[in-house]
Amino acid sequence: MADTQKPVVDYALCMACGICATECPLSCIALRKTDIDADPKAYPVLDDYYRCTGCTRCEKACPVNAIRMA
Amino acid sequence: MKVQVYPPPFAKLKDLDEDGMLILEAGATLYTVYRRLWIPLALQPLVICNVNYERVKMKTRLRDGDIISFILPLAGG
Amino acid sequence: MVDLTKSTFEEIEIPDAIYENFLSGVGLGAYILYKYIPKNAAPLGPDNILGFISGLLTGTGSFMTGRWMVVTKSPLTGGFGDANCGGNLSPSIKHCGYDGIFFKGKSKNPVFLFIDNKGPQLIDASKLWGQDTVDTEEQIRTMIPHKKSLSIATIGMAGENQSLISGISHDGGRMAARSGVGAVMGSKNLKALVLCGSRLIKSQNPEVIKTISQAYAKKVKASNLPGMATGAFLPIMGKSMVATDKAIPLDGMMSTAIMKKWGTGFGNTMNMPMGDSPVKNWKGSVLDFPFSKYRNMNPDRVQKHEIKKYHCYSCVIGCGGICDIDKVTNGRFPLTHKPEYETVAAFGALLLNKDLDTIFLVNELLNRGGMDSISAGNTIAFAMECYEKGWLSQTATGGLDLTWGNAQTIITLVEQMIAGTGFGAVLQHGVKKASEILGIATDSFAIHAGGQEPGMHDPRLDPILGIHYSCDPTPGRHTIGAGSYYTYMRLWESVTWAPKVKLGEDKKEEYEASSQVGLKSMANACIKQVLDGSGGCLFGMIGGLNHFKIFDYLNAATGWDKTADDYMSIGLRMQTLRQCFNVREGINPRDFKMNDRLSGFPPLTKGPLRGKSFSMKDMMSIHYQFMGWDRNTGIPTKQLLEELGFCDLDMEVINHG
Repeated sequence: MADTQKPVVDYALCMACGICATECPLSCIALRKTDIDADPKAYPVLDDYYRCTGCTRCEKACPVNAIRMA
Repeated sequence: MKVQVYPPPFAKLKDLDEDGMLILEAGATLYTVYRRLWIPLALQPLVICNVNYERVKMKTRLRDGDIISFILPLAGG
Repeated sequence: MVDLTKSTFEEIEIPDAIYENFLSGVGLGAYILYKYIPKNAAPLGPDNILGFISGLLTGTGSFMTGRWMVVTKSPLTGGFGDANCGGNLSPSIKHCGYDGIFFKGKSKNPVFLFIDNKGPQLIDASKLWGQDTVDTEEQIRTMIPHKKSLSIATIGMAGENQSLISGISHDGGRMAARSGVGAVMGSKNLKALVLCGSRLIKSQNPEVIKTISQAYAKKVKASNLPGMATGAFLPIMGKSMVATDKAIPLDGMMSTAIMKKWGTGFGNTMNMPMGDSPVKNWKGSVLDFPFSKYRNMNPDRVQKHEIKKYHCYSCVIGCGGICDIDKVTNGRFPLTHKPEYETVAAFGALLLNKDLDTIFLVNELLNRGGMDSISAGNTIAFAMECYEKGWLSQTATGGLDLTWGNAQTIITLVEQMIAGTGFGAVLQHGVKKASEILGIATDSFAIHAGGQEPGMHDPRLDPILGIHYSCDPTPGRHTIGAGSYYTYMRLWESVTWAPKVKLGEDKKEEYEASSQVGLKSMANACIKQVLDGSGGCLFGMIGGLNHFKIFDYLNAATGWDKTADDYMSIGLRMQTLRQCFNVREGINPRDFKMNDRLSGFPPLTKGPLRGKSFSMKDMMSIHYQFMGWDRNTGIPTKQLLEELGFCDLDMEVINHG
């Protein structure tokens, strides 16, 4: 399934609220500390690229439209 | 022109009405607000001030209806 | 509804009218409890019902609405009991296709409930019994390998021992701690609730909700403290706040910025010079615990251990954190949740303990044991005062030296309380039980309100807080309302009858039982119920309802067309139903009056709160009157029940005859 579109997070919009991680039916999205912000915030990261089926539930759930499928 | 001010506790409030509105002449900047509230120079670096929930420079000209908020803590937890 | 005695499951369809009258969350819980718990059921018996409920707004794409509620008849107060907690259990309940999960009966053997898309099943948990909360979660994860990570709520050893101050833990230490909900779960032999559904949660107008969320997110994102604002700055702020007697309505968004940086820990030092933190079992002042001691609690020092932020589901602030405490506990525990202000205050100033490392350890011990840190701290403070007064000897305490601030004793005592051994067996059920067991005249300093120990905010600073400590159906809560909360949330911008806090208003007026105070406390009680019904977070509310537009969210999610005033009367209805439950269970609402020490009798002689006192009795009367309850007895009047439409709801409401 190389063609499946995977979620990409726009960290300029992301609020690290964790809705996508909870919404994902296979828990592919992990919340992890990144270097994006000065705060040690745990932003969502697509943890398991191959398990992700591209179901777009995270994209639909994101309240600030920070997730795009690409 | 009128702006809404959420002042810090050590400010002098005599220029504000009971809703926290402050009347300014046209062309006023954030610096004018600091002066009108009598915020001491020594405390100015400690006070964080946002206009319409965005950080701005002291020289920024204010517009009618702007919301100026100073940072303040609360009891909770 | 799960019957643990018969191991059967039953799905109950809730009519839409109930949601429209009581929302979900605590409102739905109160409805179920009122309807299904037989009158005068024993709180720890099989007839009691324990419910886990999600909020009405959870999962609709709204922010700050990810809290789940536990409701039950409280063994601590004998009346209505609820507790709420963040994490990600709330959406998981909805992902399983339910709004709430209720338990009745009592299982013979320890079990846990597992629900996935295929349905519920009860699994034997004998192996897990006796394990702490973190180990239990780990073991359940290995027992049930699943692609979706599991959401687990579990009790620790304290809950298993049916300690009346035990709570339910989730995600390694987020606690729904109050009202003794853990003891009820333990009494049912239910070790855990494990969820992993993945159904879709629907809402009426997802696009509208997204628009509201985005506007809110933008403001929160822009509200940041600059790096130079350090923790050293906080005591100065606290001092400046008591220096003025004038009320200043503030922008709540600013508090959001502080929450983002430190979490609730900003209060560790700030509340000390303010007088908000209780000292020495509520009888001391900041002079007993001066700057040289409380500076150890500087949130920057806590922050040093933090390795990442912890956000509850749908939270934009992220006040929680995960701390590395490997070093401070000498390798005993690797990680802990960042200690909240309540924990730091309860095991710091309240016990005159200046050792932050102890607090980290105690925090993790309580999280793992599943005990309420506020109640535990208050209980130890009570014991220490007994010891100071000479009413407890060292032989009675099993050799423990209970002098103020003895860090080693505090740790031992917490361990004993969780295990229910030694002197801990006396203290493990909270202040009220402990004073009964000790059998000495301790009324003057057994600090509780109807059995529940109050939170770490002093009513002498904020009398409206005292009203809620005493008048709420679940007493002793610092989260229901306070004068300061009221000022921050700017409710008067949406609710027509809510009084406006004017700039420069005299704070002294709050110490009089005036109609202004009555209206404010009523507004607090109502809005908090709306919040608990929708799963909202207190910190979102304090951040200002002009930013966190909960009424718009509710309208968008449900498709109703209600005004803010309508929602407030829903809140009033929920609060009244909870009060009716208490009255039905034979509770005299007046008995919930908090200890006189908290209302300034005798008044303090030193510190920022010296000489402050108010008449709690009058304050309670004015609150009852404005809620529409009987001014003297606190029982909801017939007229109010008719106005709120209880008669149409097919419910047998209290008999006034």
